[in-house]
Formats: sequence, structure tokens, C-alpha cells
Amino acid sequence: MDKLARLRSEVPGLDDICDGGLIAGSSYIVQGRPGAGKTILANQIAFAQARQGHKVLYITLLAESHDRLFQSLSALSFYDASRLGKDLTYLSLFRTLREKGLDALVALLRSELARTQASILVLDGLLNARESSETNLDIKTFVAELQGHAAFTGCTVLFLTSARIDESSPEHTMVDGVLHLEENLFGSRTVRHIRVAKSRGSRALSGLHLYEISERGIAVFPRLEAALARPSTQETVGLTKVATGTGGLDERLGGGLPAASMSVVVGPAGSGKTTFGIGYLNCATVERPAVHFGFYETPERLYAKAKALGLDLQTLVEKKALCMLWRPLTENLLDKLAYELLDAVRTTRAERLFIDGLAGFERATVDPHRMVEFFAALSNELRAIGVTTVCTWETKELSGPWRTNPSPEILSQIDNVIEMRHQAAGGPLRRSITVLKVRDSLFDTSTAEVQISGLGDGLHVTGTMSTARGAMGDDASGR
Amino acid sequence: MANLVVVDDEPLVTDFLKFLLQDLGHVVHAASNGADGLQTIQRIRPSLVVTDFMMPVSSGVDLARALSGDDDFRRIPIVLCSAAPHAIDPADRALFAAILQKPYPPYRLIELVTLHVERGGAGLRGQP
Repeated sequence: MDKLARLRSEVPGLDDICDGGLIAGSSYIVQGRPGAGKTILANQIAFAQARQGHKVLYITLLAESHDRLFQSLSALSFYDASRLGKDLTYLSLFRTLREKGLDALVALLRSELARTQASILVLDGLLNARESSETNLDIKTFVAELQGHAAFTGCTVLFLTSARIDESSPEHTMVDGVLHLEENLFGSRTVRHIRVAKSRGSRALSGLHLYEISERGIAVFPRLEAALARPSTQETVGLTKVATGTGGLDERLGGGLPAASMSVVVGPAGSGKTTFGIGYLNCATVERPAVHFGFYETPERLYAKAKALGLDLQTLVEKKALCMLWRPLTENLLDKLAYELLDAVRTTRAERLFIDGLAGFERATVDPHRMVEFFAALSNELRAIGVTTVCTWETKELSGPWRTNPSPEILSQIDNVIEMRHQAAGGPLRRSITVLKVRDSLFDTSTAEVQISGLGDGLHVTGTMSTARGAMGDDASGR
Repeated sequence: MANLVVVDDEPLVTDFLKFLLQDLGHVVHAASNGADGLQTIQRIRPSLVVTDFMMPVSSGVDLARALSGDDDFRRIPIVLCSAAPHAIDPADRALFAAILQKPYPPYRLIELVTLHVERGGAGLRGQP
């Protein structure tokens, strides 16, 4: 089967959800309410096409002026005024449509396409064309004629409309694809989603994909569990172990954490999870770099915290042995976080990754039902890339049972589980680490007492806590 | 008072220009593209033309070229208003009495119209 020629939209993520891109010579409806970003999307594609050496014809059927359009586009980085009138022609056919009707509009569009030799046609305001048609048959004829002409000349057509076009409408049935942009309120935040509602001849990524509008235009973040339903590369399972950075713990783990595995450090606030992470990251070298992906402390605060432990993370960052990514727990887009994380790991070729913590992803999502599938896709991909990941998971209780807290579906996808606790009752503060699970490995099941040491290794095991179960509260094993 | 022709594919623009220039006491005729504009100009024989660049059928530059090739009309000053003035070939710039980049302050256009209409439109071609 011949591979269809596709347009490179240069809209991040868009081609990925469209099975590689919009098909050249096909026609698409881009629908969404005013403010959803249809015009930005179409112009972003148009300017990309112009940069790639194609001619663009942009027709408005709206009463809105082009000056205003250019003014708002000029705030966006893809906009290049020097291409106007050369590679991109903007025409208003509002008057033709209003005064002469659809037949005259098609005739004029045909001659303009020939005159400009455009390979992409954007028709902004299909709703207006629909209003001026007497019947559905008129609009059907209009779309069919334009589509036929465009397909014949290899021109791709984008019909932009703010009308709610349902699946039975003539436009919907005739075009090759429909992109639906929507903006919804979740609590007090607004979230934008794009959906490929129809895609003839292409296996588009189904469902809702998050997108954002920034000064770079639109960026789409394909739903991770759909985009990475299977990891991008095959996982290689080795027997290599990776040091935790906590003195005396590797022996208890059977030599360290299995390479390319996913570990979680569970415990209440103040139990030492971040300190554990600092020790873990401190093992990074220029040859074997690490990534820190955190939602809480800024890099500066982590440097200070590390310094107090006698560790120097800042120098590791300067040597490019460590990459620090801080994403404050404000408003985040779930899939964007995942792509930033994966991108950092891939580009730095990191071998160790510390995520502080998993709850940051949970807070970012507007759809909690996705979390299990999302985490499966993310963790499978991280394993396949070969990075050894340690995440933190904060339990709600300051002490006591945690086993009901991280969801069992997520815990079952984690290879290694390490529990951290602290207790001050009846004496000085005592910290403990218990290894609960290690993938394909024997490990020490006793509870280790740990101290925050000044020995330059963050946490340090000082011995086995013989009365740990009684002293530390509920039996974590459930027995 | 003078006869003027304004040419633009956007009705918002021609409506505004009509309002602006009629207020100065001129009679304003509108056309929606270069070809339509040429016919209107040939019929009206205006003192000045204000035209857009990017238009269907034929552009503002096409219109200016057609007028410059006709002895009866080559002396009519043409003010080009465009969002994309850099797309105009340097050789074609001389076809216009002035080039304004959209969006422009209305007083700039009023100044240009006043200047060129009062001069009678003679021998102005090619001046900035």
C-alpha cells in the first residue's frame, strides 16, 4: 500500500495524534467555540507550510478584519509578517458570499487557488457559509465542489467553524477529517482538549488530548497511555544493580536496586524521603547522569539541603551530571509533565531518575480515572529507556498503616517498595527503612534503623531495629 | 471636495474609509478587488485612489500597474495600505504616491489625502 503524503504541521503533538500528519490533498473541519484556538492552529499550520516552501491561501468569511487577526498573531512566535503577501495570501470573501452566494464563492475560490498556486487553503467561517445557504444541499454542494477541486489540485483544505457540527451534518460526512477543540472548566481551572473526531484513512490516536496555547502557539500533548500504549523501544532486562546512595542499604537490597526498575519510597512527611533522593542523585557522574523531577523544593532549596548533609548537588549540575527539573504544584498538565520528564531523561541519557513525588502527577490531572493507565505507560517507557527510577509517595498518616494509601493497581506496577518511618514517642526521634519488595531478588526483611549522617552519604543504616515493629506502630506487612 | 475610490476586500475597511473620508467632504466610491476597482476608477475618474494590496481577482499592485499603463489614468495618485508592505517589489513601489502599513492612524491617511488632492494629483508619482 502506498504511504499517503502528509503535511508536517510543526504543531507539537498534532501530527502524532493524526497518525503522522494531515493528509495532503484532503479536507478537514477544525471546530471549536470562539477562543478554543482554531485560528491559531490554522495559522500555525499555514506559517509552517509557508516555511516549508508552500503557498497558502487564507480566506475569511467573517466580518472580522485582517488587521486585527495579524495584530493578535503578532504576539505568537511562528508569525512572520515578512511572509505575508508572498507565501501567504489573506483574502476576505465575506462580501462575495453575502452578495453573490455560494456558487460565486466557489468560482472565486477556484480562480484564487489557481492564481496563488496554493497547496493549502484555510476557510475561516464555514458557519457563515452555512447561514447563507438555503438548504443543507447547498452547503453539501459547496463543500463537495471545493473539496473536489482541492483534491484534484493536491490542495489541503481546512474549514474552520465555531458551529457545533454533529456527526450527521453534511459537512461532517463529507470531509476527510474533523479536529474538535474544546475548553472546559474543571473546578476553577480551565483545561483544553483536542480530539480527532474523524480521520478517514488514518489511525488517529483516539480520545481527548490535552493542549495548551502559549506564545509559541498550540502544543498538543497526546494522551500518554494512547501514545505509549507500548514502549517506544524494547526493554532489556539485565542483572545489573544500581547503588541507592544510602550507606548500608544496598546490602539489604541484595546488592542495590535492579537497573532499569521502578522503585517507590513510601512514608509520611519528614521521614527522610527527599534526603534519600539527594543521596541517590549524589551517585550521578558525568558518564552516568541523573535527573531530578520534583514538585516541592526548588533546586536552590535542594542544594542547600544537600549541603547540610555534606553533599554538593550544585557542582553535579554544573558538570552536567545532574539535571534538575522543578515543576511547582500549581496548574500542570498531566501529559505535558510526562513528556518533559521523558524528554529530559532521553536528552541527558540519564541512568538514574528521582521523582519527588508521584502525587504531583495525581494533582495535575483533571481525570483521576486515567492514573493507573498513565502510570503504566510512563513506568513502562522509563524501564524501556533503561533509567533506574525512584519515586516518593507521601502517606497521609504521620505514622500508622499506609497500605491503603497508594492504590494497589499502581503499587503492583512498581518493582521495588521501600518504606520509611519515623517516631519520636518515648525518646529521641528514630528513623527506619524497611525493604518490602525487590524485583527478582532476595532481600533483608528486617527493619533498618537509619540516621541522617554527616558522612557525605545522606542517610546511613546504623543497624537493625530489633523492636521496630512494636516501636514503629502498625505492622506494615499486614501480618 | 473630490471624488475618491477606495478598494479593499474587507467591507469593514471600505465602510470605515467611506465614513472617514466623506466626513472630510469627499464623495467616496468603494470596490472590493483590483478588477472591480479598475472599472470603478475608469467610470468615476477620481482625484485619488486608496487601495489594499492582498485582494481577490487582482491585487492593489495589479491595479496600479493597469492604471500606470493608461494615459488617461496614470496621473491619479494611489495610496497603498497593506499589512504586508514588504511583500511589494521595490520596482513597484514607484507606482504609489504613498505606502501605509496597516494598521495606521487615520490622521496619516487624512494628511495624505489632503496633500495629494490639493496638489491636484499631478506629477506626484514616485514621491514618498
